[in-house]
Amino acid sequence: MKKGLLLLLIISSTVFYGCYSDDDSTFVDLQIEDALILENEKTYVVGDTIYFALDFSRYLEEDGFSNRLDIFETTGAASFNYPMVLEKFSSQSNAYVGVTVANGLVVESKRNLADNFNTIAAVLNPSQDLYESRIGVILAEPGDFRFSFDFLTLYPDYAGDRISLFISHRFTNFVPEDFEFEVTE
Amino acid sequence: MTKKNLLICILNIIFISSYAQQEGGEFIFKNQVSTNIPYLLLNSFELNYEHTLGKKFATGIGWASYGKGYYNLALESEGYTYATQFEITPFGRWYFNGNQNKSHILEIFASINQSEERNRFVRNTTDEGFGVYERGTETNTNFGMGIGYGYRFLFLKKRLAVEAQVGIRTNFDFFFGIPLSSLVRSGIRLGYRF
Repeated sequence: MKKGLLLLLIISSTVFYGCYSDDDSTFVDLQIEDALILENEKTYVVGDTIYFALDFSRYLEEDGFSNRLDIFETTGAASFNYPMVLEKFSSQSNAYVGVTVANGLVVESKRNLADNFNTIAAVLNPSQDLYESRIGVILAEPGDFRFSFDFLTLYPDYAGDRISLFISHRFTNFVPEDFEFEVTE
Repeated sequence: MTKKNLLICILNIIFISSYAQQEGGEFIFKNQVSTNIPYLLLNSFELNYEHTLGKKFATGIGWASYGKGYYNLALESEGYTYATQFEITPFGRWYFNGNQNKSHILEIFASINQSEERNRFVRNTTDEGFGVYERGTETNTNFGMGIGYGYRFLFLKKRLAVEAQVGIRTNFDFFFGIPLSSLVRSGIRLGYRF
């Protein structure tokens, strides 16, 4: 009897709830392929400009769903940002090393906004169906260069209480040489 | 068979099967209905029916509806809450000291429950037919299983039952391999035996 009463007291002192917390860890990882195009002429002279463009639809396929996702409605982002990684071959290192592109050497040829010159913004176009970016880099010194674009992740501009969403860009047939070029005097 | 006839048949079966038998001067009650008293304080309601099987076992079914008070106890985490709306729980019980005596109880139950996850991101469809993630409520029907442990007191010549029980149920949602569980079928029940 005493055991029973004790059990009753313990149980009656607890709060009865049938709910548990869970984490709101949902995020959306979308994939786009072969959207980045480098206009690579392979050989340049100092003062030339090399261009690349990355355009993608506002409506993207999402795994597990039959209809495409409206990433503008979902994120409220007027632009998606991605890094520009330019590398130059260093004999000293015997490897490609990162090169920061200076202010004034980035040409925005298609309404792009670059907050800093190594982050590119793909901006929603006026008809609001495509995020677009086209960037030119003025080549200011000789050497062997390459863009490191094999794995790119695009993040939206933060727009308040929205789901976390990012876009991974991949090449279906990535050839490193396609992103290498030489600049001569 | 009309609905009226079917109802009469069901009532007859219950009456015949539930008729208290006398054994050694004591009545044996084969059925029990009970409700959870703390639930009533939380704008919630639970009703259970059980039928004895042999001397130590019983089987039954429970129904619980969780109201606002119950929901207010939900824990918030990262911006949204999870709440069970109602559940149906078929259960089996083992009375350690026999089902006609005051006894410790071990209970195993299944659960069909409906849950709401409020203020979480859900994927809706726009008027244009595209997907969009917005904050909203997601309703799911789940299947779970659980276990409970308690004690039952008997009063008024064993016709009145007072039970204290704690139970946990999982819907088989796992977090790093650990099943997420909820406290259900817990509280103090008042029951009538017949």
